[in-house]
Amino acid sequence: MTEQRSTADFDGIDDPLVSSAYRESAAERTPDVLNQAVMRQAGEQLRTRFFRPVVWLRPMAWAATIGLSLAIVIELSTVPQPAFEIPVIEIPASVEMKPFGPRARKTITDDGRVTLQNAGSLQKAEAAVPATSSMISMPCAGDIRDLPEPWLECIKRLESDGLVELADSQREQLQQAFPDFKLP
Amino acid sequence: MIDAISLNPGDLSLSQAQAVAYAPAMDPDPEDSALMLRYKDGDVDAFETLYRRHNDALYRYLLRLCRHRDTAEDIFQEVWGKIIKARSRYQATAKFTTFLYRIAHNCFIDHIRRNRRHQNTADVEPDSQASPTDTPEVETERSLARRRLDAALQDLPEEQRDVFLLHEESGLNLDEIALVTGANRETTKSRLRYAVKKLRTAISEPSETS
Repeated sequence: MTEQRSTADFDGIDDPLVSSAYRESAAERTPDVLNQAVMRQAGEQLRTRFFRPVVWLRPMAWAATIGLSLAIVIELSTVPQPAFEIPVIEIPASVEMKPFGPRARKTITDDGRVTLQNAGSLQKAEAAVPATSSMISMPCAGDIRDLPEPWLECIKRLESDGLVELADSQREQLQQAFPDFKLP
Repeated sequence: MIDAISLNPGDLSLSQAQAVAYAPAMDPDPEDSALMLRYKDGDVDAFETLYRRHNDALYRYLLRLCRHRDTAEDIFQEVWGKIIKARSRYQATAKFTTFLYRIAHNCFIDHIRRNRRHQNTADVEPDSQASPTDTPEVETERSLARRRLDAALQDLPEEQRDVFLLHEESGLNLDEIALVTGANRETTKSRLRYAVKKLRTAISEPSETS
């Protein structure tokens, strides 16, 4: 029972007789079992403080996340990129080699085979393919240029594909090749 | 410091108490909040000191508030368990006693909400302190007065009993009792006045048995 009290607060309320009777009546003390239980709990709480998941789980989760991220970054930066190697083709001496034109193309197929196309077959293949944006490297080439009308059609397709600069360049070439042809 | 003085009021003069307050490293009787902060830092001895200061008063408060020994003991453990768990968040912004009794009061209210049976099962028999110098007649009269007081205390409305017990056991002032109970100062004062008046009447009345 705490003796100290601000008596000014209780002027006119406090009754010494009641207080005295109460204090004589209220003499219970906390049972030892309870004291021991509370003290044990206080001690256990301190001992387990650093072993409880709530204390270290979050920092550990952060550390694991950062560590994993770093490991991934380092792994990605140190993995050697597969070198692009052109397979060496050994051609038997018995194979008769045909001369390739200046525009022969060497291509590598998905399965690693190397194929060579001469200029003639290449031009034919390109002429057969409809003019699309995939023809940027060789627009309106080949037989198309023999006559102004197909050439102009090709130029229009380029324009419709949005390749305006290329189309302009082709127009100039068309104008130079066929000065008498009137461009629309 | 107030609590330190309250333990042994005769041992410390005011100047000594002030000196103690400004010398925490050599403080033989530190404040409750300082003890709680030390416990927060891992000093279990500080907690024991703090606990020994308040355990009996809190126990009596709960015992008479609940009127049921098992319930009081359960709540007592619950209160200290909460204090122990709250140590990491504890800040010495309020008086520790207010903090302690506020938790106790709330635990009791929670208990009432969970289980209303305590209202009809009063099993607390008051322990009496017989003075060896009293004559049998005086002791009999005092014993009867204690019994009448205890019966009257149990008959008090819960709010009045709560305020009276806080007043007697915790050493809190009116404002602090108001803070603990969640009522305003005037209501608290009024409840205490009614409680004391009823208890006084009960003690003064000649009992039927006498």
